[in-house]
Amino acid sequence: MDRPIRVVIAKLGLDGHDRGAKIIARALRDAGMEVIYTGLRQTPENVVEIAIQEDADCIGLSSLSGAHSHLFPKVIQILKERQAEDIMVFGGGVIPAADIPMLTEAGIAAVFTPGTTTEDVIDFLKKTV
Amino acid sequence: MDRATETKKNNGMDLATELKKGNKRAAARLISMIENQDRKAEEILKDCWSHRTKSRIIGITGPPGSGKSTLVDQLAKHLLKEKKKIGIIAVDPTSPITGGAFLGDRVRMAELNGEPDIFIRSMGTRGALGGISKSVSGAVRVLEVLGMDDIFIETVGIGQSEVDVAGIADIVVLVTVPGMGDDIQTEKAGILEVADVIVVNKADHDGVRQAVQHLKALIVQNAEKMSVEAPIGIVSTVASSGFGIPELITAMEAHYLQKADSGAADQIRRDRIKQELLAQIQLRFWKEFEEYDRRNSAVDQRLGAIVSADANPYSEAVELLKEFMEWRRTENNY
Ligand SMILES: Nc1nc2c(ncn2[C@@H]2O[C@H](COP(=O)(O)OP(=O)(O)O)[C@@H](O)[C@H]2O)c(=O)[nH]1
Ligand SMILES: [Mg+2]
Repeated sequence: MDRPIRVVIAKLGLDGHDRGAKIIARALRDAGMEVIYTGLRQTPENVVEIAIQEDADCIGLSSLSGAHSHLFPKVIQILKERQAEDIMVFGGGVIPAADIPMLTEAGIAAVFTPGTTTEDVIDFLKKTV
Repeated sequence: MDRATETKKNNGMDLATELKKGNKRAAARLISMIENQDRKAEEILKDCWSHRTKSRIIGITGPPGSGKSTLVDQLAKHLLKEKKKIGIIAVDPTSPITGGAFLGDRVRMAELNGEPDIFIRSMGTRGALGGISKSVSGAVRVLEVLGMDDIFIETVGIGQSEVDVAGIADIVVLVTVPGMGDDIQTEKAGILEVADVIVVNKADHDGVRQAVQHLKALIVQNAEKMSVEAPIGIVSTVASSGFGIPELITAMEAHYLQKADSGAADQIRRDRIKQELLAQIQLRFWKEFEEYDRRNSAVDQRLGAIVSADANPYSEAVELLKEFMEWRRTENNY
Protein backbone atom coordinates (compact mmCIF):
# COMPACT_ATOMS: atom_id res chain seq x y z
CA MET A 1 0.00 0.00 0.00
CA ASP A 2 1.20 3.44 -0.82
CA ARG A 3 1.32 6.04 1.88
CA PRO A 4 2.90 9.47 2.01
CA ILE A 5 6.42 9.91 3.36
CA ARG A 6 6.23 11.75 6.67
CA VAL A 7 9.04 14.21 7.22
CA VAL A 8 9.74 16.56 10.12
CA ILE A 9 11.38 19.84 9.09
CA ALA A 10 13.14 21.55 11.96
CA LYS A 11 15.25 24.62 12.35
CA LEU A 12 18.05 24.25 14.87
CA GLY A 13 20.04 27.06 16.40
CA LEU A 14 19.27 30.57 17.43
CA ASP A 15 19.11 32.49 14.18
CA GLY A 16 15.69 33.79 13.24
CA HIS A 17 15.35 32.91 9.56
CA ASP A 18 13.29 30.01 8.37
CA ARG A 19 12.73 30.97 4.75
CA GLY A 20 14.92 28.18 3.42
CA ALA A 21 13.28 25.63 5.69
CA LYS A 22 9.84 26.77 4.55
CA ILE A 23 10.79 26.58 0.88
CA ILE A 24 11.93 23.00 1.27
CA ALA A 25 8.84 22.17 3.35
CA ARG A 26 6.54 23.45 0.61
CA ALA A 27 8.47 21.64 -2.11
CA LEU A 28 8.23 18.35 -0.24
CA ARG A 29 4.52 18.88 0.31
CA ASP A 30 4.08 19.52 -3.41
CA ALA A 31 5.94 16.28 -4.05
CA GLY A 32 3.22 14.44 -2.13
CA MET A 33 4.79 14.21 1.31
CA GLU A 34 3.31 14.98 4.72
CA VAL A 35 5.53 17.70 6.11
CA ILE A 36 5.44 18.38 9.82
CA TYR A 37 6.79 21.87 10.15
CA THR A 38 8.06 22.78 13.61
CA GLY A 39 9.20 26.39 13.37
CA LEU A 40 12.25 28.17 14.67
CA ARG A 41 14.76 27.49 17.41
CA GLN A 42 14.24 23.82 18.12
CA THR A 43 16.48 21.85 20.44
CA PRO A 44 17.78 18.43 19.35
CA GLU A 45 15.82 16.83 22.22
CA ASN A 46 12.56 18.35 21.05
CA VAL A 47 13.16 17.49 17.41
CA VAL A 48 13.60 13.83 18.30
CA GLU A 49 10.53 13.82 20.52
CA ILE A 50 8.49 15.42 17.73
CA ALA A 51 9.70 12.89 15.18
CA ILE A 52 8.72 10.06 17.52
CA GLN A 53 5.25 11.42 18.25
CA GLU A 54 4.69 12.10 14.57
CA ASP A 55 6.07 8.68 13.62
CA ALA A 56 8.17 10.39 10.98
CA ASP A 57 10.23 8.51 8.40
CA CYS A 58 12.86 11.21 8.38
CA ILE A 59 13.98 14.51 9.80
CA GLY A 60 15.24 17.43 7.76
CA LEU A 61 17.46 19.77 9.78
CA SER A 62 18.21 23.28 8.75
CA SER A 63 20.90 25.53 10.12
CA LEU A 64 22.27 28.86 9.00
CA SER A 65 24.32 29.93 11.95
CA GLY A 66 27.06 27.35 12.11
CA ALA A 67 25.18 25.40 14.75
CA HIS A 68 25.15 22.33 12.51
CA SER A 69 28.54 20.94 13.51
CA HIS A 70 27.41 20.51 17.09
CA LEU A 71 23.62 20.17 16.85
CA PHE A 72 23.19 17.81 13.88
CA PRO A 73 25.28 15.04 15.47
CA LYS A 74 23.44 15.66 18.73
CA VAL A 75 20.15 14.75 17.02
CA ILE A 76 21.68 11.47 15.82
CA GLN A 77 22.96 10.73 19.28
CA ILE A 78 19.58 11.30 20.92
CA LEU A 79 17.83 9.20 18.28
CA LYS A 80 20.18 6.38 19.21
CA GLU A 81 19.52 6.86 22.91
CA ARG A 82 15.80 6.68 22.22
CA GLN A 83 16.29 3.60 20.01
CA ALA A 84 14.81 5.56 17.13
CA GLU A 85 17.80 5.47 14.80
CA ASP A 86 15.58 4.06 12.05
CA ILE A 87 14.45 7.67 11.55
CA MET A 88 16.71 9.00 8.81
CA VAL A 89 18.26 12.46 9.19
CA PHE A 90 19.31 14.84 6.44
CA GLY A 91 20.50 18.40 6.67
CA GLY A 92 20.69 21.61 4.76
CA GLY A 93 21.57 25.27 5.02
CA VAL A 94 24.76 27.20 5.01
CA ILE A 95 27.20 24.39 5.62
CA PRO A 96 30.87 24.60 4.54
CA ALA A 97 31.98 21.71 2.32
CA ALA A 98 34.74 20.98 4.81
CA ASP A 99 32.17 20.08 7.47
CA ILE A 100 30.27 17.56 5.36
CA PRO A 101 32.53 14.53 5.93
CA MET A 102 32.24 15.01 9.68
CA LEU A 103 28.43 15.17 9.46
CA THR A 104 28.26 12.09 7.24
CA GLU A 105 30.52 10.30 9.65
CA ALA A 106 28.15 11.22 12.49
CA GLY A 107 25.26 9.59 10.62
CA ILE A 108 23.62 12.42 8.68
CA ALA A 109 22.40 10.65 5.53
CA ALA A 110 22.80 13.62 3.21
CA VAL A 111 23.74 17.27 3.38
CA PHE A 112 22.23 19.74 0.94
CA THR A 113 24.15 22.97 0.50
CA PRO A 114 22.74 26.13 -1.13
CA GLY A 115 23.75 24.87 -4.60
CA THR A 116 21.32 21.94 -4.55
CA THR A 117 17.77 22.17 -5.85
CA THR A 118 14.60 21.07 -4.11
CA GLU A 119 14.33 18.33 -6.77
CA ASP A 120 17.60 16.86 -5.50
CA VAL A 121 16.13 16.61 -2.02
CA ILE A 122 12.87 15.10 -3.30
CA ASP A 123 14.72 12.52 -5.40
CA PHE A 124 16.91 11.61 -2.48
CA LEU A 125 13.98 11.10 -0.12
CA LYS A 126 11.96 9.10 -2.61
CA LYS A 127 14.92 6.80 -3.14
CA THR A 128 16.01 6.48 0.47
CA VAL A 129 12.88 6.37 2.60
CA MET B 1 12.39 0.62 -0.55
CA ASP B 2 9.09 -0.86 0.44
CA ARG B 3 7.38 1.44 2.85
CA ALA B 4 4.71 -1.18 3.46
CA THR B 5 7.12 -3.20 5.55
CA GLU B 6 6.19 -1.21 8.57
CA THR B 7 7.16 -3.76 11.14
CA LYS B 8 10.80 -2.72 11.00
CA LYS B 9 9.90 0.37 12.91
CA ASN B 10 8.23 -1.44 15.76
CA ASN B 11 11.67 -2.36 17.13
CA GLY B 12 10.20 -5.60 18.34
CA MET B 13 7.74 -3.68 20.51
CA ASP B 14 4.53 -5.37 21.49
CA LEU B 15 2.40 -2.38 20.65
CA ALA B 16 -0.62 -3.30 22.79
CA THR B 17 1.46 -3.92 25.91
CA GLU B 18 3.59 -0.82 25.36
CA LEU B 19 0.58 1.37 24.68
CA LYS B 20 -1.11 0.29 27.90
CA LYS B 21 2.11 1.23 29.71
CA GLY B 22 1.90 4.72 28.22
CA ASN B 23 4.64 4.38 25.61
CA LYS B 24 4.31 7.32 23.21
CA ARG B 25 6.25 5.65 20.45
CA ALA B 26 3.83 2.74 20.48
CA ALA B 27 0.95 5.21 20.30
CA ALA B 28 2.57 7.00 17.38
CA ARG B 29 3.12 3.74 15.49
CA LEU B 30 -0.42 2.58 16.05
CA ILE B 31 -1.86 5.87 14.83
CA SER B 32 0.17 5.50 11.62
CA MET B 33 -1.12 1.98 11.16
CA ILE B 34 -4.68 3.28 11.53
CA GLU B 35 -4.00 6.08 9.03
CA ASN B 36 -2.52 3.57 6.60
CA GLN B 37 -5.48 1.24 7.07
CA ASP B 38 -3.23 -1.52 8.25
CA ARG B 39 -5.37 -4.47 9.30
CA LYS B 40 -3.09 -5.27 12.23
CA ALA B 41 -4.15 -2.04 13.95
CA GLU B 42 -7.51 -3.59 14.57
CA GLU B 43 -6.05 -6.53 16.48
CA ILE B 44 -4.17 -4.16 18.75
CA LEU B 45 -7.18 -1.94 19.36
CA LYS B 46 -9.20 -5.05 20.21
CA ASP B 47 -6.66 -5.90 22.83
CA CYS B 48 -6.73 -2.38 24.29
CA TRP B 49 -10.44 -1.59 24.16
CA SER B 50 -11.05 -2.18 27.86
CA HIS B 51 -7.98 -0.16 28.86
CA ARG B 52 -9.25 3.19 27.69
CA THR B 53 -9.39 6.21 30.02
CA LYS B 54 -12.62 8.13 30.07
CA SER B 55 -11.03 11.08 28.31
CA ARG B 56 -12.81 14.34 27.59
CA ILE B 57 -12.79 14.85 23.85
CA ILE B 58 -12.84 18.46 22.74
CA GLY B 59 -13.25 19.51 19.12
CA ILE B 60 -11.75 22.88 18.16
CA THR B 61 -12.95 24.02 14.78
CA GLY B 62 -12.97 27.21 12.76
CA PRO B 63 -11.52 28.79 9.65
CA PRO B 64 -7.77 28.87 8.89
CA GLY B 65 -5.94 31.58 10.75
CA SER B 66 -8.64 32.14 13.37
CA GLY B 67 -6.21 31.07 16.10
CA LYS B 68 -7.19 27.45 16.81
CA SER B 69 -3.63 26.16 17.30
CA THR B 70 -2.69 29.14 19.47
CA LEU B 71 -5.79 28.52 21.59
CA VAL B 72 -5.07 24.81 21.95
CA ASP B 73 -1.53 25.71 23.04
CA GLN B 74 -2.88 28.06 25.74
CA LEU B 75 -5.57 25.65 26.87
CA ALA B 76 -3.02 22.86 27.15
CA LYS B 77 -0.68 25.02 29.23
CA HIS B 78 -3.47 25.84 31.67
CA LEU B 79 -4.63 22.26 31.92
CA LEU B 80 -1.06 21.05 32.48
CA LYS B 81 -1.02 23.16 35.63
CA GLU B 82 -4.03 21.16 36.77
CA LYS B 83 -1.90 18.03 36.32
CA LYS B 84 -3.90 16.86 33.32
CA LYS B 85 -2.47 14.64 30.61
CA ILE B 86 -3.25 16.06 27.23
CA GLY B 87 -3.48 14.65 23.74
CA ILE B 88 -3.70 16.89 20.71
CA ILE B 89 -4.68 15.79 17.22
CA ALA B 90 -4.14 18.59 14.71
CA VAL B 91 -5.72 17.95 11.33
CA ASP B 92 -4.79 19.89 8.20
CA PRO B 93 -6.02 19.44 4.65
CA THR B 94 -4.23 17.09 2.26
CA SER B 95 -3.86 18.41 -1.27
CA PRO B 96 -6.20 16.36 -3.44
CA ILE B 97 -3.80 16.78 -6.35
CA THR B 98 -0.43 15.84 -4.89
CA GLY B 99 -1.51 13.94 -1.78
CA GLY B 100 0.92 16.02 0.23
CA ALA B 101 0.15 18.18 3.26
CA PHE B 102 1.79 21.01 5.16
CA LEU B 103 1.18 20.23 8.82
CA GLY B 104 2.17 23.42 10.60
CA ASP B 105 0.09 23.53 13.78
CA ARG B 106 3.06 22.61 15.96
CA VAL B 107 4.64 25.99 15.25
CA ARG B 108 2.09 27.54 17.62
CA MET B 109 2.56 24.80 20.18
CA ALA B 110 6.33 24.94 20.43
CA GLU B 111 6.35 25.46 24.19
CA LEU B 112 4.54 22.17 24.66
CA ASN B 113 7.39 20.24 23.05
CA GLY B 114 9.21 18.13 25.55
CA GLU B 115 6.38 18.21 28.12
CA PRO B 116 6.08 14.64 29.39
CA ASP B 117 2.30 14.85 29.79
CA ILE B 118 1.63 16.07 26.26
CA PHE B 119 1.25 14.06 23.07
CA ILE B 120 0.75 15.89 19.79
CA ARG B 121 0.00 14.30 16.46
CA SER B 122 -0.44 16.09 13.13
CA MET B 123 -2.64 14.44 10.53
CA GLY B 124 -3.47 15.14 6.91
CA THR B 125 -7.06 14.56 5.81
CA ARG B 126 -5.74 12.24 3.05
CA GLY B 127 -8.94 12.75 1.10
CA ALA B 128 -10.69 10.13 3.19
CA LEU B 129 -14.27 9.47 2.18
CA GLY B 130 -16.60 11.05 4.73
CA GLY B 131 -13.86 13.38 5.86
CA ILE B 132 -11.39 12.81 8.60
CA SER B 133 -13.63 10.82 10.87
CA LYS B 134 -12.24 7.33 10.65
CA SER B 135 -8.55 7.95 11.21
CA VAL B 136 -9.18 10.62 13.81
CA SER B 137 -11.56 8.53 15.86
CA GLY B 138 -9.01 5.72 15.70
CA ALA B 139 -6.32 8.10 16.93
CA VAL B 140 -8.63 9.21 19.75
CA ARG B 141 -9.04 5.58 20.84
CA VAL B 142 -5.24 5.26 20.93
CA LEU B 143 -4.88 8.39 23.07
CA GLU B 144 -7.58 7.10 25.42
CA VAL B 145 -5.51 3.97 25.95
CA LEU B 146 -2.44 6.15 26.42
CA GLY B 147 -4.27 7.63 29.42
CA MET B 148 -4.96 11.18 28.30
CA ASP B 149 -7.43 13.18 30.43
CA ASP B 150 -8.26 15.64 27.69
CA ILE B 151 -7.99 15.10 23.96
CA PHE B 152 -8.16 18.10 21.64
CA ILE B 153 -8.97 17.70 17.97
CA GLU B 154 -8.16 20.74 15.83
CA THR B 155 -9.86 20.76 12.44
CA VAL B 156 -10.37 23.42 9.80
CA GLY B 157 -14.01 24.28 9.49
CA ILE B 158 -14.61 23.75 5.82
CA GLY B 159 -17.49 21.86 4.33
CA GLN B 160 -18.50 18.94 6.44
CA SER B 161 -15.42 18.64 8.60
CA GLU B 162 -16.87 20.49 11.58
CA VAL B 163 -19.87 18.22 11.57
CA ASP B 164 -17.48 15.29 11.50
CA VAL B 165 -15.77 16.55 14.63
CA ALA B 166 -19.15 16.85 16.34
CA GLY B 167 -19.60 13.12 15.88
CA ILE B 168 -16.27 12.44 17.56
CA ALA B 169 -16.04 15.06 20.32
CA ASP B 170 -17.87 15.47 23.64
CA ILE B 171 -17.81 19.21 23.28
CA VAL B 172 -17.26 21.38 20.23
CA VAL B 173 -15.65 24.81 20.36
CA LEU B 174 -16.09 27.02 17.31
CA VAL B 175 -13.36 29.62 16.89
CA THR B 176 -14.29 32.84 15.11
CA VAL B 177 -12.72 36.27 14.79
CA PRO B 178 -14.39 39.70 14.75
CA GLY B 179 -16.09 40.34 11.44
CA MET B 180 -16.98 36.72 10.79
CA GLY B 181 -20.63 36.84 11.85
CA ASP B 182 -22.02 36.74 8.33
CA ASP B 183 -19.94 33.71 7.48
CA ILE B 184 -21.47 31.84 10.37
CA GLN B 185 -24.93 32.89 9.36
CA THR B 186 -24.48 31.49 5.89
CA GLU B 187 -22.70 28.40 7.18
CA LYS B 188 -24.46 25.49 5.52
CA ALA B 189 -23.33 22.83 7.90
CA GLY B 190 -25.44 24.07 10.78
CA ILE B 191 -22.52 24.74 13.05
CA LEU B 192 -24.78 26.46 15.59
CA GLU B 193 -26.51 23.15 16.12
CA VAL B 194 -23.26 21.42 17.07
CA ALA B 195 -21.21 24.15 18.77
CA ASP B 196 -21.20 24.18 22.59
CA VAL B 197 -18.97 27.22 22.97
CA ILE B 198 -18.20 29.92 20.41
CA VAL B 199 -14.94 31.79 20.85
CA VAL B 200 -14.47 35.27 19.46
CA ASN B 201 -10.68 35.17 19.25
CA LYS B 202 -8.41 38.10 18.38
CA ALA B 203 -10.36 40.22 20.81
CA ASP B 204 -7.47 42.69 20.54
CA HIS B 205 -8.87 43.58 17.12
CA ASP B 206 -11.76 45.98 16.46
CA GLY B 207 -15.31 44.78 16.39
CA VAL B 208 -15.36 42.28 19.25
CA ARG B 209 -18.39 43.80 20.92
CA GLN B 210 -20.35 43.75 17.65
CA ALA B 211 -19.26 40.19 16.95
CA VAL B 212 -20.49 39.03 20.36
CA GLN B 213 -23.81 40.89 19.95
CA HIS B 214 -24.24 39.42 16.51
CA LEU B 215 -23.61 35.91 17.77
CA LYS B 216 -26.02 36.37 20.65
CA ALA B 217 -28.71 37.51 18.22
CA LEU B 218 -28.02 34.53 15.96
CA ILE B 219 -28.31 32.17 18.89
CA VAL B 220 -31.64 33.66 19.93
CA GLN B 221 -32.90 33.34 16.36
CA ASN B 222 -31.91 29.71 16.26
CA ALA B 223 -32.95 29.01 19.84
CA GLU B 224 -35.68 26.54 18.93
CA LYS B 225 -33.12 24.28 17.28
CA MET B 226 -30.87 24.16 20.30
CA SER B 227 -31.01 22.62 23.71
CA VAL B 228 -32.57 24.88 26.32
CA GLU B 229 -30.54 23.50 29.22
CA ALA B 230 -27.19 24.23 27.64
CA PRO B 231 -27.27 27.44 25.63
CA ILE B 232 -24.16 28.06 23.56
CA GLY B 233 -21.49 29.87 25.53
CA ILE B 234 -19.71 32.86 24.02
CA VAL B 235 -16.20 33.75 25.18
CA SER B 236 -13.84 36.43 23.83
CA THR B 237 -10.16 35.60 23.90
CA VAL B 238 -6.77 36.83 22.81
CA ALA B 239 -5.08 33.49 22.24
CA SER B 240 -1.69 35.07 21.58
CA SER B 241 -1.61 36.62 25.08
CA GLY B 242 -3.73 34.15 27.03
CA PHE B 243 -6.54 36.61 27.75
CA GLY B 244 -9.86 34.83 28.29
CA ILE B 245 -8.40 31.34 28.53
CA PRO B 246 -9.58 30.65 32.11
CA GLU B 247 -13.07 31.80 31.08
CA LEU B 248 -12.97 29.50 28.07
CA ILE B 249 -11.97 26.56 30.24
CA THR B 250 -14.80 27.38 32.65
CA ALA B 251 -17.30 27.53 29.78
CA MET B 252 -16.05 24.22 28.35
CA GLU B 253 -16.23 22.57 31.74
CA ALA B 254 -19.73 23.90 32.40
CA HIS B 255 -20.89 22.40 29.13
CA TYR B 256 -19.16 19.15 29.75
CA LEU B 257 -20.60 18.84 33.26
CA GLN B 258 -24.03 19.84 32.09
CA LYS B 259 -23.88 17.16 29.43
CA ALA B 260 -22.57 14.63 31.92
CA ASP B 261 -25.29 15.41 34.47
CA SER B 262 -28.12 15.31 32.00
CA GLY B 263 -26.89 12.01 30.62
CA ALA B 264 -26.24 13.70 27.28
CA ALA B 265 -22.53 12.87 27.49
CA ASP B 266 -23.25 9.18 27.97
CA GLN B 267 -25.70 9.32 25.11
CA ILE B 268 -23.08 10.95 22.87
CA ARG B 269 -20.60 8.25 23.87
CA ARG B 270 -23.14 5.50 23.13
CA ASP B 271 -23.99 7.06 19.77
CA ARG B 272 -20.32 7.32 18.92
CA ILE B 273 -19.62 3.72 19.77
CA LYS B 274 -22.72 2.70 17.84
CA GLN B 275 -21.41 4.59 14.81
CA GLU B 276 -18.11 2.80 15.14
CA LEU B 277 -19.82 -0.55 15.38
CA LEU B 278 -21.95 0.19 12.33
CA ALA B 279 -18.91 1.42 10.41
CA GLN B 280 -17.12 -1.84 11.22
CA ILE B 281 -20.07 -3.87 9.99
CA GLN B 282 -20.28 -1.85 6.81
CA LEU B 283 -16.57 -2.23 6.20
CA ARG B 284 -16.54 -5.99 6.77
CA PHE B 285 -19.65 -6.56 4.75
CA TRP B 286 -18.27 -4.54 1.88
CA LYS B 287 -14.90 -6.33 1.99
CA GLU B 288 -16.64 -9.69 1.82
CA PHE B 289 -18.78 -8.55 -1.06
CA GLU B 290 -15.70 -7.32 -2.91
CA GLU B 291 -14.09 -10.69 -2.38
CA TYR B 292 -17.19 -12.41 -3.74
CA ASP B 293 -17.23 -10.13 -6.73
CA ARG B 294 -13.52 -10.58 -7.32
CA ARG B 295 -13.91 -14.33 -7.49
CA ASN B 296 -17.14 -14.43 -9.47
CA SER B 297 -17.18 -11.19 -11.51
CA ALA B 298 -20.77 -11.01 -10.37
CA VAL B 299 -21.17 -7.29 -10.99
CA ASP B 300 -19.64 -7.26 -14.47
CA GLN B 301 -21.80 -10.17 -15.55
CA ARG B 302 -24.94 -8.20 -14.89
CA LEU B 303 -23.68 -4.91 -16.16
CA GLY B 304 -24.32 -5.48 -19.87
CA ALA B 305 -28.00 -6.12 -19.41
CA ILE B 306 -28.38 -3.05 -17.25
CA VAL B 307 -26.56 -0.85 -19.75
CA SER B 308 -28.74 -2.08 -22.62
CA ALA B 309 -31.80 -1.55 -20.40
CA ASP B 310 -32.81 -5.21 -20.53
CA ALA B 311 -32.47 -5.15 -16.79
CA ASN B 312 -32.50 -2.41 -14.15
CA PRO B 313 -29.95 -1.76 -11.40
CA TYR B 314 -32.58 -1.93 -8.65
CA SER B 315 -33.73 -5.48 -9.26
CA GLU B 316 -30.21 -6.60 -10.15
CA ALA B 317 -28.87 -5.30 -6.85
CA VAL B 318 -31.45 -7.36 -4.98
CA GLU B 319 -30.55 -10.45 -7.02
CA LEU B 320 -26.83 -9.86 -6.52
CA LEU B 321 -27.26 -9.62 -2.79
CA LYS B 322 -29.27 -12.84 -2.73
CA GLU B 323 -26.54 -14.64 -4.65
CA PHE B 324 -23.89 -13.14 -2.43
CA MET B 325 -25.62 -14.26 0.73
CA GLU B 326 -25.99 -17.75 -0.70
CA TRP B 327 -22.29 -17.85 -1.65
CA ARG B 328 -21.40 -16.61 1.77
CA ARG B 329 -23.45 -19.35 3.44
CA THR B 330 -22.32 -22.26 1.30
CA GLU B 331 -18.80 -21.52 0.13
CA ASN B 332 -17.36 -19.81 3.15
CA ASN B 333 -16.81 -20.25 6.80
CA TYR B 334 -17.80 -16.73 7.65
N1 LIG C 1 -3.73 39.60 17.15
C1 LIG C 1 -3.97 38.33 17.46
N2 LIG C 1 -3.38 37.36 16.73
C2 LIG C 1 -3.64 36.07 17.06
C3 LIG C 1 -4.51 35.72 18.11
N3 LIG C 1 -4.58 34.37 18.17
C4 LIG C 1 -3.80 33.90 17.19
N4 LIG C 1 -3.21 34.91 16.52
C5 LIG C 1 -2.29 34.82 15.38
O1 LIG C 1 -3.04 34.39 14.26
C6 LIG C 1 -2.24 33.60 13.41
C7 LIG C 1 -2.92 32.25 13.16
O2 LIG C 1 -3.00 31.52 14.36
P1 LIG C 1 -3.13 29.95 14.39
O3 LIG C 1 -3.26 29.55 15.81
O4 LIG C 1 -2.08 29.32 13.58
O5 LIG C 1 -4.54 29.77 13.65
P2 LIG C 1 -5.25 28.43 13.09
O6 LIG C 1 -4.98 28.35 11.63
O7 LIG C 1 -6.72 28.65 13.36
O8 LIG C 1 -4.71 27.28 13.86
C8 LIG C 1 -0.91 33.46 14.11
O9 LIG C 1 -0.03 34.38 13.56
C9 LIG C 1 -1.22 33.78 15.55
O10 LIG C 1 -0.11 34.29 16.25
C10 LIG C 1 -5.13 36.79 18.86
O11 LIG C 1 -5.92 36.57 19.78
N5 LIG C 1 -4.82 38.04 18.48
MG1 LIG D 1 -3.83 25.50 13.18
